[in-house]
Amino acid sequence: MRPKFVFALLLLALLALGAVFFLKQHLGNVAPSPTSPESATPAPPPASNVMASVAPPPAPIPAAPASTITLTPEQRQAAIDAETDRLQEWSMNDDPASLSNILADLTNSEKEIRDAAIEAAKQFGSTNAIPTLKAVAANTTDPEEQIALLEAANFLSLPGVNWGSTTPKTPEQIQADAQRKAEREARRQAMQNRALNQNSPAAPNN
Amino acid sequence: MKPNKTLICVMTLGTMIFAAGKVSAIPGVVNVSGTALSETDSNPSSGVSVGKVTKHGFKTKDVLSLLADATTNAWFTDKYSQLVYDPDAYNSDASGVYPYNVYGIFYVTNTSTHAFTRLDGLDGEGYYYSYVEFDSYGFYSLWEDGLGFWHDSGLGENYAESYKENENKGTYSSNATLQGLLYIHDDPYDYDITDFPGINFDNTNAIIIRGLGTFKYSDNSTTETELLTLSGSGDGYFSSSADSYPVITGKVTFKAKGPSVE
Repeated sequence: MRPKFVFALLLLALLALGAVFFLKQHLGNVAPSPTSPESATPAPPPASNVMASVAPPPAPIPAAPASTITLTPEQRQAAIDAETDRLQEWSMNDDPASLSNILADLTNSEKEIRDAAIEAAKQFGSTNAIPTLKAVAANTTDPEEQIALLEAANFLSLPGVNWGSTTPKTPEQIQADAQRKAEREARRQAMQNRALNQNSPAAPNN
Repeated sequence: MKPNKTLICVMTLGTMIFAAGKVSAIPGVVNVSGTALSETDSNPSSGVSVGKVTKHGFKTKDVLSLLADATTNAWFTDKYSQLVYDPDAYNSDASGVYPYNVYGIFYVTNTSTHAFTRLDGLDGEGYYYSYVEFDSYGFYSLWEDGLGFWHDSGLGENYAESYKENENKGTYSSNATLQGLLYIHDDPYDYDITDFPGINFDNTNAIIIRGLGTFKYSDNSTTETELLTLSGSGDGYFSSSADSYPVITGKVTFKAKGPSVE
């Protein structure tokens, strides 16, 4: 009985040591930083911004975890296209949530999305975007992108154009328009005839 | 995944154009933004004249406002209205006026109501009219005679293009730098600014953006993607007394995606 008991005890001890060693190795490999932009688990808000934001502030990038989902080039492009389509839609809205989504994409990891976000911010046309555009510009290392962000901020600070009121035309103006139209058509006809004579019988540029 | 409204509207429009017998149809959304520098003169006192430059911004919504007034389509300024362009579409109405082929058709669509209006065509007397044109010469390989009315090689016809074609896989991608011109105007008979320089003076409201653009094209045998960016400057014509003849600086972006045709 006694040698058997000692053997069992030793076996248990070895198993326990092995388990401790295994867990230490395993946890050391898979535990990523909770703020990692490359984490397989996406940051909760905003749910529709499919690509991870990279700034501000840029989080330290740890070693790639074994469970990271790698997209094929086609999947990646599809994700970019989907997000730029959403940006186009948000740019036509006038609600704070849409603006928030647009501004979140200013720091997207994909340049194509960031460019689309800058354009969407301009089209949205809210001065509320100016502080974020300037803040992102301050944290951007790409000089061209920095200029684009600052230009967008300046653009939003400008007053809009004034086309002026369109008043109904007088009979004289309508008559003058008709005369101009006839003159233009005569010039176009002359141009067409010249082109036909120069290029006849073959079509030009062929 | 729920398809977005923009995609549905553009695809519906594309299907309608394709059904109408065009070779290819991948219309996409156009965005325009820029600034207008204009001079305001005053005489603060006898014998003293002062000119001041003011700067205003304009974006797609402002362009749609110009077009809404010009076409008397008030819905152009409604929420979710957008400017759509199909560069691949053979423009049979415009081609009927010229001894060469004209490519490219503009529309205004609304992704909520699905209303759409074409921005050129033939009027009741059979005369061609147009409110928007994008003119570019350099794409002989993609568009037989260039885009829009840019047919005069004296206006600039060169382009530089990097490309990769794989006949085995049926794929093609390219990135080209070209010269282009976007002309948006309210007098529908003042079209073709490239052949008729100065015709723009007859407009009440107009914007011209002329400059260097980049055109990215890819076809992976199932999907075609077109991405155009044009940055430049030009004249503007505003009917308001303060901004009558501004200098325009602007940027135009266009993106389209659709199924491969060949």
